[in-house]
Amino acid sequence: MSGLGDNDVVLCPQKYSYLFSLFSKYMKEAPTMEHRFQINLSGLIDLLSNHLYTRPDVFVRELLQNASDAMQARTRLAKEFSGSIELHVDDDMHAVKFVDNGIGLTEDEMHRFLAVIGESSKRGVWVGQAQDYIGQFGIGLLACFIVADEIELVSRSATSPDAPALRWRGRPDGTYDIAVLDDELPPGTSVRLVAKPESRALFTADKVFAAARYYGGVLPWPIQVTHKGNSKEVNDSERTHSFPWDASHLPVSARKAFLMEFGRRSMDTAFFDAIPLVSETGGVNGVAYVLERTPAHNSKSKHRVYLKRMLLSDSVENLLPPWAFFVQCVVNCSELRPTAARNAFHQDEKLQKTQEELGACLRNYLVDLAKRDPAQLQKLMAYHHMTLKALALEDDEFFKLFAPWFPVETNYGHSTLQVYLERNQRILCTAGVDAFRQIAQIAAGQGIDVINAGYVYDADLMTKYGELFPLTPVRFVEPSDIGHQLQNLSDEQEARHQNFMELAQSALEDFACTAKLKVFEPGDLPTLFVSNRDANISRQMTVSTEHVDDLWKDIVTQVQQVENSEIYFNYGNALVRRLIQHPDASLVQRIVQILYVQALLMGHYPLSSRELSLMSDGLSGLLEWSLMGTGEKPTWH
Amino acid sequence: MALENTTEVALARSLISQSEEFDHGSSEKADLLDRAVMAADRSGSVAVQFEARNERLTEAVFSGEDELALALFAWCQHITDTRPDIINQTSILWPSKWILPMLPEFSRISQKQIDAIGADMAKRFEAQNLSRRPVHAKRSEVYAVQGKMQQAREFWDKAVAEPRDRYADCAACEHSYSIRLLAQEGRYEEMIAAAQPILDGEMFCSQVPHIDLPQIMLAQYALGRKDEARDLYKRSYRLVRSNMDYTQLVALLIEFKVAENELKDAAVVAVRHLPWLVQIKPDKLKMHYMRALHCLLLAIADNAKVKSLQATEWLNSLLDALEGVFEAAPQNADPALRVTLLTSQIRKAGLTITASLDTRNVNDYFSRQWHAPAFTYVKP
Repeated sequence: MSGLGDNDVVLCPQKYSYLFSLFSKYMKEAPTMEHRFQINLSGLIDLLSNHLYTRPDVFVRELLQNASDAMQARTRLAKEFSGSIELHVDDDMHAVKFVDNGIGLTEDEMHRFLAVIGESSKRGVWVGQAQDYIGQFGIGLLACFIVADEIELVSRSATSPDAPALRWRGRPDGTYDIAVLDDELPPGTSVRLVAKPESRALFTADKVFAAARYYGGVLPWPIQVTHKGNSKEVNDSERTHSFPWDASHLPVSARKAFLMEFGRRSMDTAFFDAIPLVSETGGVNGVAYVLERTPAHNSKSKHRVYLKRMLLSDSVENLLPPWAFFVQCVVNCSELRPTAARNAFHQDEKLQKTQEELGACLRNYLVDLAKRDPAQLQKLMAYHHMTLKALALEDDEFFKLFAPWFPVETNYGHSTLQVYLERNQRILCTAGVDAFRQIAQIAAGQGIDVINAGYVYDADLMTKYGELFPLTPVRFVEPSDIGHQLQNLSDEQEARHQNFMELAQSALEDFACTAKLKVFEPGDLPTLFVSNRDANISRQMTVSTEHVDDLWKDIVTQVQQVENSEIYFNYGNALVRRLIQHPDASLVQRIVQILYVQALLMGHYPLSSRELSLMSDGLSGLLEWSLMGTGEKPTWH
Repeated sequence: MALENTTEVALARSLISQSEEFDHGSSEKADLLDRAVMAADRSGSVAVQFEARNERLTEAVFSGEDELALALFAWCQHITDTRPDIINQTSILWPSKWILPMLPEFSRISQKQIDAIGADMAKRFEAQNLSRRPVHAKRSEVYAVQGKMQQAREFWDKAVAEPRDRYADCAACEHSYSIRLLAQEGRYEEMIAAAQPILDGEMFCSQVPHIDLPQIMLAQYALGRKDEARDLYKRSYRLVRSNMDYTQLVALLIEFKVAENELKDAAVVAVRHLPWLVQIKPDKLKMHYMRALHCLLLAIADNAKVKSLQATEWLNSLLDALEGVFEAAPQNADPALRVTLLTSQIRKAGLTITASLDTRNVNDYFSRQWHAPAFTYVKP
């Protein structure tokens, strides 16, 4: 959290929910006097354009959606009906007209559906069930007012042979008129929009074509954009009854390549692999593409989702289980309920079941890959091990299958758990990165193979490994465990070097560090700094209060339980041996302090001000001392 | 100006960002933030050092590492005082509300020091021309911790008379404190009535209802409404079981099981959370956990008077675990002797703490708490 400014508001988490609960309560208890909300239509349009809809060309989606629903309704009346949608672009007039041969509207329907916000024509009035249609909120037509000052809609209903052709004109101030036309028109609807000056850029043939393709490229009706007498097909009219990712018409061997090419073309990026997705509950059919990169931490994968073949959004977030952020999907679904903002589905039981079914598709793919192509799995692991670890923690079977492939950092380098277990019959690991750093070098010197389980999920995974594979013991080691394994000096050696130990301890007295003399490998390592969690916390407290005022310094000192870290001097190291035998006590203490600082730096510990001064004074002193002639070297203070 | 190490800055920020995935009280969160503080210190960037310490401070406050929270707060406040060009002086006002009520929980912090920090907090709010509501509210909390209920009420009344501004606790947190104050004053009926929105889930926050439910159970128990308290036990324990910050509440729930004479359940919970007794630093919290253990051991001994003490598996686990923390009984000691020795050690340790707290507070509030029967409020 950065510093709060004067205008920053600091709230407890969930405060808003609380305020809302209070508000609801108040509303329940207030005396009942009924009033009616006043809706400001232009304000509502502003709300839609600036907050609900994320793209200015959303009117294309809404009109395609209405056309598609109208044709779906007409299909229910006449099975043999052959629907189509045409978009006519008129550059000169900055106008675009959407024409469909769907079910059309009667005058009564115009009054009801076009003039009442929130009243969708698909709420059980049209033929069939509401869920057969794409639009359900009754606010779609308002999107047109974002780009046009008037909507002109001409329609003739197919429900009755005598139905007249009608013209409806609506304006953003909330007024509209309806006129009966004399023209003999076929059933269907046309909607004509003339662009506001600031929206003219959206009404070019290229832009309209691109938007129609983006939103309606998967619709099951042929769509054409006509401009100056030339027509261009938005979708493949030969394949309007299958999805563009449907590869069933190809031999099995060619399907993967087809899917990969479709993914590359439609999402403009290369993927690692493609996984067919099916969920009966959500009516989902599509493809999940495995990302060929490691997604950013905390990122959510966003999916391109078509709802009943109309693009809902290309950034839907909650279609897959939360752990599945290693894939990006293109799917069509028919049974899920989108939120009004269209970037997510309602969190209901159906979505939950759908997530489980789609999760099973991904899991089955991974399981199959582990059996069929381990090399490919290892490549996938390189990108997505975090996701797979999270999944493994939730699923024992998955864990058993994937555990061997988990990448691990050991003091001998990076490998997989399987390779580690080929070298070892048990797992030794550290629960923290700092602990690993302290242990790594010395453990390697002793031939001990230690895993760094300090990274996210690793400690839990190691624990789980021990539970699921009891024949392979898992042991968490602390730096102090390694310290205990270091070789002690003989009693005689201890006694002989008692003086050095006292000097060293006294030199480190103020740094909450205990000096010990041991023998360990590698011999070129003069010291080993070991600190457990309590000592680290104690150190953090000391460093944090170095410069604070006396009041706070006293308070913290009173509550702090100083926990010493330990520094082991290596009796097997030549420098340490010479140091132990040096007659100049003052010099010995300085070098002890410098070795202490060096050990901290090797352990990546930030230095306190006092430790920094120790380092700097010590080095200058040493340089000065070494420049003096042998005979004139004084005792060094 | 020292050069900043951008690699370490990026590392610190990345670690902070990763830590956001974990809940307060999880070891992963603390570990990531400890590493963030180290990386920030290596970076030399004061802003990132503040950012990392501020995050770690929040985690320390909400995970029961109060002593570390005090040190980190001291650092953060010092930086806002000395480097206002980098860190806004208001940045530390909100955390100061967490810090003040922590101080009386440590017996070694003197009344003079508590008063000085309280006065400093008031001065800082005044300097920013802010409402005194949080200052009075936190003073009230300090007095409540010390069992000085008259002053606690007086400052709470003063607090709520002040206007709310952006530094006021949220309504749920304020309401939560007000009902706990009622309970501490012995006004149980009023407390339970006022607690209804919290019980119904209409008022909630990051620690509400966690900190309220065991207290509500206690008030219900005091009024003989034991069935209602029983109904709340599971909901309550689920909320507090994973965070050391709730040590006192877990201790209360152990006492509840003792009062219900469900000693095996009490022992299981007591063993499960025993590591907290070692890790937690505030004396007040240590005292509460020891008191729960003491009540449990007394109840075990009392039951043995009726029926001789059987060395059951749960009893052995409890005694073994306690002997890992306190002194072990001589080898081959029978369970009754082990219980007696542990009871005596825990009583001694507990009374040492209560005496220190009461000496500082110049009253006998904690000693009376120690001697109160299991799962009862001490009379104000």
